[in-house]
Amino acid sequence: MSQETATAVRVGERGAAVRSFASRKVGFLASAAVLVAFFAINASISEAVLTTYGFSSFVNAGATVALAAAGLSVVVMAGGLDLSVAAVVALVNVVVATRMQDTSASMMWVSLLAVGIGVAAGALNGVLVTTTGLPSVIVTLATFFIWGGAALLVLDSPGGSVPFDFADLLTGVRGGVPNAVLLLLGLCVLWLLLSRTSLRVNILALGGDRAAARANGVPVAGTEVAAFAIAGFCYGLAGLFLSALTVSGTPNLGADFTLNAFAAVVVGGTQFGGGRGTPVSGLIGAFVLYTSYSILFTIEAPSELNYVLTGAILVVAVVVQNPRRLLVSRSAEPVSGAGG
Amino acid sequence: MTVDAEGMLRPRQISATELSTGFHPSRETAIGLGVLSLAGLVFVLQVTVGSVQYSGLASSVSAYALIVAIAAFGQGLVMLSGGFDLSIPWVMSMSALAITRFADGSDSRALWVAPAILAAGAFIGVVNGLGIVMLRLPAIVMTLAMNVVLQGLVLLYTEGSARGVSPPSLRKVMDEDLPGTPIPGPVVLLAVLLLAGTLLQSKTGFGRRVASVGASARTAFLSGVNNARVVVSVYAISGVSAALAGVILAGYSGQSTLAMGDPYLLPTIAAVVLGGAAVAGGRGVFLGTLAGALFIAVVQSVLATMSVDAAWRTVIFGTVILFSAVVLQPGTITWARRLGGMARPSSAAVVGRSQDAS
Repeated sequence: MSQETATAVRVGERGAAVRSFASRKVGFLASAAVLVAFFAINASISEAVLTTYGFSSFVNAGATVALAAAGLSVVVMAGGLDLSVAAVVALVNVVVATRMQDTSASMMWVSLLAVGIGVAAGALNGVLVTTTGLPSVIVTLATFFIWGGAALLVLDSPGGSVPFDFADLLTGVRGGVPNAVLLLLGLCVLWLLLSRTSLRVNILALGGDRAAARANGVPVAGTEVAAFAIAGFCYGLAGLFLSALTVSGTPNLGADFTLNAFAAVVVGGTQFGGGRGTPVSGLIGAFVLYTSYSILFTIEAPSELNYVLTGAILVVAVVVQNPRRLLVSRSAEPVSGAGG
Repeated sequence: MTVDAEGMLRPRQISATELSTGFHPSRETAIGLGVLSLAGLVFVLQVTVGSVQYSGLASSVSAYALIVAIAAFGQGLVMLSGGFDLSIPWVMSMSALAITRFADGSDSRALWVAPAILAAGAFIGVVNGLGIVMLRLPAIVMTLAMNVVLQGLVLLYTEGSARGVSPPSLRKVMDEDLPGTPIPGPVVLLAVLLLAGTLLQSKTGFGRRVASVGASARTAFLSGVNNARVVVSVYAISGVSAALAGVILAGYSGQSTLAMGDPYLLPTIAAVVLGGAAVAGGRGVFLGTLAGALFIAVVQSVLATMSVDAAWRTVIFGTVILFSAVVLQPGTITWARRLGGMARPSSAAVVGRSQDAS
């Protein structure tokens, strides 16, 4: 091989690598760009969001759904769905609101307990999915009732309280930076560290093609349980944050929470079906939603429009992220009731 | 001929029970009959051992089962085609709110309001189907988006308040027994629904096309099925059945409330799964779905009459769904397969033997 061809090959490889990076990350980059654009629009019609107080309340409002969506993204990357997210977050929330005392030791132990409950609930979801071989939608539909019932057992109606110091620790501001931003960045760093292990690749392989992953030596069962457990860890954090934000416990978060978490995952660019995505995009997707809510609030639109807007954003996000799907011919890929 | 999990058309195999009795239920029908008898048994035990008053129990169980079964009919067809319809809650809420607001206690007004509501349900379903077929959206995304958009529009229109009462004849049908018998009105409607649902799902070419699309979209397409038309149709039917369920729900309650459809999404999916249908599509009969709805209704009533804490009731309900799904999903347990006539030697083995003989 002559030197020129070798160079050409190398350049070609790099070009292909860049293109493949761009095509893999296009959903993620697009949602990040949309977030920046929405935030700019929001800031241009109301400068309140640029003040320290305004910015921290904006971040705090979106952080609970963002944390939950980050977890849900991991399950979706592994090719699953998790309908139990709202129930796990509620369970953690009521445990914190009923157990946490105003001492630093109690705060630490209850926080650990909260995250532990999240991880345990997530891992149990994963074990049930792996051992029964049922679709994760059905398993998590059932565990939605089980964790939701457990939350009601802990606290049967909204109530409880959370110490002010703990609320301030998560939702306060230090040196102009909201603590919630540090928490979210911390989660991103954790994921980057985790990405250095084989777990991330295994999760994506599992979501991409289960049989191929198994054939290539991916420990399928362990990876699946790990994906659900990581999701549970994020739900635990979301439950902790919700407790700090509302300083009380709510045993039933309602359908809106599940909807927002799913919408955030989709808007962030992690597509149902698995094999692609990152939890960071779940964070971004959640804030795209909350920025648009904030814009509607600023222009004094009726709050019911939030629902209509969420639906519209969901549909537009999926179409824009994968415009080639529109051109797939009906004979090349006949549609089933599942769509996609 | 049946369509198997790989989407291949295969001759139905004959089981020993079938040969001896002449009764030849499919696997799904066998599960449906089993779940139905279980629901009946629990009901009888409640009346005899649990000494719950028959009339009140029969009326409340059958009314709840009817509402779930109507909505689950559409959900079952959608799941048979491989999808999910998550827009059922707010189609139901919208319909319930509309029948009390626009008919407001008048039967004559209900005569045009009810058909208009069903037409709106069909329209919503067609939009769902077109989004899935034309925009190639995942069904979960499309119907989730539709649900939330409907929620927003309904809340905007009603300004957050439910008005009016339901038409008296609708209340009468739901509340009163069949004249001269101890049979509640909803039971009659359940029987009619069972007949209509079974005819459409299992006895028409359309029903078979839905199952073939759910089993394998490609095989169905190559066999000449118009997949797009089938998909749009099942979502349209699901829209109509959810709208009807909403109207009946308002009739049973006598009035409407915002978000009154929200508690019904998960029972519709649970009813289909309890009926032995494959979650991924391709297999399922309406008898099973209806049996699932009745089973959910009696389980709820048992938990309610045993004055079990609401929290425990939720936990038990979830466990029942999980346990039944494990037992009933195709391939997860072998007795169900045997009932379905899979215990015979495979046709390949029979062919091999006949070749040896010749």
